[in-house]
Amino acid sequence: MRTIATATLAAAVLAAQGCTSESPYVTDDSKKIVTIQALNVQDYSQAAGDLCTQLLQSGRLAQAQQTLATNGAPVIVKLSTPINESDQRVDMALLLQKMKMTLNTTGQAMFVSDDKSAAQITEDAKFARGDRTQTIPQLVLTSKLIAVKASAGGFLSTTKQASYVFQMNLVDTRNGLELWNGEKDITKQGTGAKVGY
Amino acid sequence: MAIPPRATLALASALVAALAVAGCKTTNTVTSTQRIITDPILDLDASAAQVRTSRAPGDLLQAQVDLYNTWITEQNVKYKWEWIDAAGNVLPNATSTWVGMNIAAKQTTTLTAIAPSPRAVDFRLQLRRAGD
Repeated sequence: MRTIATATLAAAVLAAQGCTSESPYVTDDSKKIVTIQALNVQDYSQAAGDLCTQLLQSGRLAQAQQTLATNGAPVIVKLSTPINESDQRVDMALLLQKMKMTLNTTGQAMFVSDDKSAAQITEDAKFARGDRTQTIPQLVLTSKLIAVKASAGGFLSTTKQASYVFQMNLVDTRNGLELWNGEKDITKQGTGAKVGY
Repeated sequence: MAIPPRATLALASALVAALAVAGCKTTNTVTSTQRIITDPILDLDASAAQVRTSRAPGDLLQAQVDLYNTWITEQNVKYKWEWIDAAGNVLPNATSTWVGMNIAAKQTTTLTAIAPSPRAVDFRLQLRRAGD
């Protein structure tokens, strides 16, 4: 009888260990925590991907490259300072860096650096070689985040909903006209945070 | 009828192991087609005939896939695009992520994506049931 008990216990311990051997690192976006009242890291990936698809599908960037750039070079784009009209502190670099990476890979766009040290070193290098030309961006990409929140239900059970709307416009610096307008909203609804979609 | 101790031991161990396995998160087996990898637990009709590819401006591969929910209730699905170059390698994609969506009963939805590089010659769309 003791043999049966020991064997059963050993099997249970081994099986339990098998269940709890998950890595603490989360590489699968669908397993990341989803909060209703805030943007999560995977939301930026989704928004960036959708906005890039909208922009590339419109053909306006490729058209600008053909008319503004020479010899098939990428068109020069400057990111304007993002506007955050949501009620939370947001680092829009989480969105913009992914967009820059994607658009750069397409070969259609190249971005002006926003880094102050890089700008200073560039100026110093140009001065040293007597280069007085200026890099003028041919396009400006503007971005804005708006949040719209709502809730429904009673005291005991309240369903909360938050919509985060990313708006972007691509402006031709020759005339200030907007070549492209994009928008992506991410709406989340629930009673609290959860893991995964 | 008396059961031999050895048989009892084997039976008890097998029972505990079976219960423990049932308690673990189950992993769905995945079937793969050329371009669409779908979880068989999804009742989606995503046959190759419903896939369209074209070249977007800038020579970027564009793909559209129609998904028909054959089930009589709404299905929560998540999907992810991957882009493949001529050598068969998956191209790096900064915006690649699992995206959730709902497909209403007996409805068709169309997924559209554009490759992040002119090097992409093919794509792979992975589909899973949300929550797995």
